[in-house]
Amino acid sequence: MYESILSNTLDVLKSLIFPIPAQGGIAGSGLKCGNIEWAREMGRSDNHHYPMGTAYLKMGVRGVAEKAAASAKKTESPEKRELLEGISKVYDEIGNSLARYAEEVYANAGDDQRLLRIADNLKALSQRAPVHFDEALQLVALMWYLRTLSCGGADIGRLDVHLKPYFENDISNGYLTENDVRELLCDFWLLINQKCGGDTLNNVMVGGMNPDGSDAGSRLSVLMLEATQKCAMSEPHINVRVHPNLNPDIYHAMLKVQLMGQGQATAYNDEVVIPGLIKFGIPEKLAYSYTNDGCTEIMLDGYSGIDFAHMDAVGVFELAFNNGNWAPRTYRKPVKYWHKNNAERFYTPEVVPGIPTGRVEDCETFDEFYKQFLRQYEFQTRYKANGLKRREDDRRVNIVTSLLLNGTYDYILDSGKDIQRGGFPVTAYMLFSGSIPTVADCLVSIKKLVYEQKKYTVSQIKEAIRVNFDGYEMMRQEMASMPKFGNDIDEVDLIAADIASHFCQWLDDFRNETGFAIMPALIGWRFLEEAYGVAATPDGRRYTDPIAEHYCATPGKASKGPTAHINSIAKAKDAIARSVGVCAVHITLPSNFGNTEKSLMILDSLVKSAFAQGLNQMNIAIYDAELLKKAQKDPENHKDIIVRVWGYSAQFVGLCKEMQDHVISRVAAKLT
Amino acid sequence: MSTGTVFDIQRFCVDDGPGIRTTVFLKGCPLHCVWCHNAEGLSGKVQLYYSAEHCIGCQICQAVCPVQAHRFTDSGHTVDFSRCITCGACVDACPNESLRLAGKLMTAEEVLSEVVKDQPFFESSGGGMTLSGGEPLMQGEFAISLAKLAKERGLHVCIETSGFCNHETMKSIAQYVDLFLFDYKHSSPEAHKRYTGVENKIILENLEFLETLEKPVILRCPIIPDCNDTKEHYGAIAALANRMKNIIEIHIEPYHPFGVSKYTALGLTAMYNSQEMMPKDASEQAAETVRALSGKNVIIS
Repeated sequence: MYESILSNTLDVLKSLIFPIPAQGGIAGSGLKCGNIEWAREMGRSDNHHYPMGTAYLKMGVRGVAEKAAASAKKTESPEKRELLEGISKVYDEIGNSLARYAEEVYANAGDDQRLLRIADNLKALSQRAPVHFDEALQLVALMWYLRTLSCGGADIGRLDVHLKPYFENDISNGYLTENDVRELLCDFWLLINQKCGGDTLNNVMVGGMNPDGSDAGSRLSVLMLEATQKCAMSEPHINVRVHPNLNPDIYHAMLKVQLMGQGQATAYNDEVVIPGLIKFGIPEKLAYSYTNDGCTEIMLDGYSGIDFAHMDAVGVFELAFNNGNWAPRTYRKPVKYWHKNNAERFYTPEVVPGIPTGRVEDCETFDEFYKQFLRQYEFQTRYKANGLKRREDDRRVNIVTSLLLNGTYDYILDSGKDIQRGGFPVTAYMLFSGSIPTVADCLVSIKKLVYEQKKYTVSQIKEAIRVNFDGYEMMRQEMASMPKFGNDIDEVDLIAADIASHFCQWLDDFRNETGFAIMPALIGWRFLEEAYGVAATPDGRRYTDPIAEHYCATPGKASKGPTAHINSIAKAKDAIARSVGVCAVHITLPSNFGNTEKSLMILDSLVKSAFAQGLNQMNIAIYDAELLKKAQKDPENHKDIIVRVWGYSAQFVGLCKEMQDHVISRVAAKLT
Repeated sequence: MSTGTVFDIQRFCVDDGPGIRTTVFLKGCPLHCVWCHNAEGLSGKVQLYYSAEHCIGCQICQAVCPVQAHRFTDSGHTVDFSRCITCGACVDACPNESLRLAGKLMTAEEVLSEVVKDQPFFESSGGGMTLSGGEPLMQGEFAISLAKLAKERGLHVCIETSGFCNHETMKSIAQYVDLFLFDYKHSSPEAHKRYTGVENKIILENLEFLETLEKPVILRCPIIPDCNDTKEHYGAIAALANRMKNIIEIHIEPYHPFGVSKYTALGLTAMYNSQEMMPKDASEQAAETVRALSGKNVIIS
């Protein structure tokens, strides 16, 4: 089963071309192998969305090889033996590669003390487990590089927790200073940035609560945030698990990073996430280990992978409004995924048409229409849930996963079970449904204009949508003036909360019926494409105007400021608690928010109040809309601007024009 | 039940006192500062507010107006504000927010129920409610009710005032206010009268009174080119601040032209209609002068 993975992995390792680091204390930037196809096969079935385990840190790569070989001898199962023997061979060869890398660096070092130290570290790592912080970080960097040879990046997980023992030991015995550690972290951050930027999945989580309530964070967490502040680049995406006992220095460092305005660091709320995970059935110890996936989603650091499906909520609305069909329309444009180098294509929302839920024209009340919408939504949710279940059923029979990856989890070295065939303690599947707030805007507009004020009929609205409101500007303006999610208006906020609750309930029902658990997540990352995939909408949104990200207001519509926006979101408190995949929230502040002690205090208040009200995640970005417009015209001189895209931040000038416009539309009016 | 005329309730105000605040703007002002940037606050009456840039020319306002205040001609939509009886028919009919009424009669409870929506943010930031205007103390009884109600709900209360009110009103509200944002517009009595329409005697007496109560005051000083951007005035600001222990901070507020369009929207003409921002180095120079003379914390806001 693993022959092909094994032979390709060994080919990769034997063909590695070792770059001599031109600067810094960490080697590996620019590492290449003989053939990218070998690397692809080496990483088979690895979606890079979850962190590696830490077995190689604890026992060293030779230790992993020995442990796997010993377990292979004990097992009676040929399948397990094959996996374990494969891991053993791979990790022995990694050891050999490290030794070769060390020799290569020695040969080029001369009397350069920096290079000699790197070579010493590589040599030590080829023989034994890391003892010092710089060795451990070097090994993490190289393992990350090996894992990502054929792609842009991969999740990194709770790096401060993984490296804390090495850090504390080195600091207490004077082997390294905090300054040395910060520099080394910057070297690692730079190495990641040199490889790729943007939608890379390179996430680092710091902080977090231990099961006894104590703080898992340390001075190392602070240094990681400071390194992010110092580097001011998009990678890695840094995140902080906030809880009542979080070291105030970590929290303060997080606020300082947020104040840079680049859409980092994202804060997670342990007090909502952990109880949510436990209630969902995740064992307590594992729930406390959570980290975020490549984007924003929650998964368990070292104990689960993640796979998911995505559903476009506004697409569901369009189907419900047209009895299971797409809206007739006279317009359609192609769009790019997010980056300027992505190809243009016509996007079709991630839902299936063809399920007739009734003619809206025949509904006599808003309630009737709303029920039809919910029927369509439930159908789509179940369709996606079934798809995920099928994926898992297939996986259990067919899948084999990268030996490099399997070997990083110490329990796999005992069990010999492939991580994706029952090896992981938790099988994590997630269904995303973002953009619900735009749907709520549409529903409230119909409720008021069709059923309460009786200003328009459904047929008139459909005709206006068909022609993108051309000749119907007055109708569009009236729709645009209806209550919008994000302004603390119950009438619309509670509709969104109700949809979110139903979504969570349907996945619960599905679990009860099938035994297959899927985490609900109020996340949506295809909002840009969706704005091109769906027609104009009855909230007064013209074709291609922005659609809500995640569970946030439609960009530009939260006109009462961030407190009202947060309050609107918090009305879905119960659904948020159940959305263990996370309810992703983007709050964008205008640049005249300032960069003072008071600005820090305001950020602090926004995070604390949002979390006290039940939000489980929040991302804050601060942009100058005028500067972004200038950067669109003069990209050469604005390469330093980093903005939040969906679950990650990226260089603004690298985004496609449509995504740039979307980001600009998020910036509300300047503070008065 | 106390009622008053409110023209805006603005959330997430971060420059109207400490922390995150909700600012309640009360309509009407006994002063008429030539540079006033809040034209909606001048009159105590409800007024029609027309934003020409949002008008889509649908002419519905013309059709529903009982007094023919709206007209559409070749040059577009014109509003005859002298005819308007502020019945609100056009506002209801307008498909967007091109027409609205500036000013709404509200009870103190109604205002507070809007304000407390951000109470969690006030608590975590040390913020609260700020009363502003107009001159909030022109609706003295209403302002006192609001401040009292806010204190009962545990809110931190600021008031932004010109200080031009009778002594009893000041005495009454002071017991419910934690921090005064007190305007200091001109140090010469004659110039004060010329530029604001009133003398500064009552204002200074009220300021003295707050000192006897040891109520903290932030002195807010609008700096308007050619009106009060003089060394004498800066010296007077510093002297006042030095004399009064309760002045904890001085805010230099350089002129900005963002309020000029509001006059047009209300059918009024701005008296001081410069479109120029006060140059940054001039406002920094003003702040530096006051800082050097007073030794108090001086910020440009």
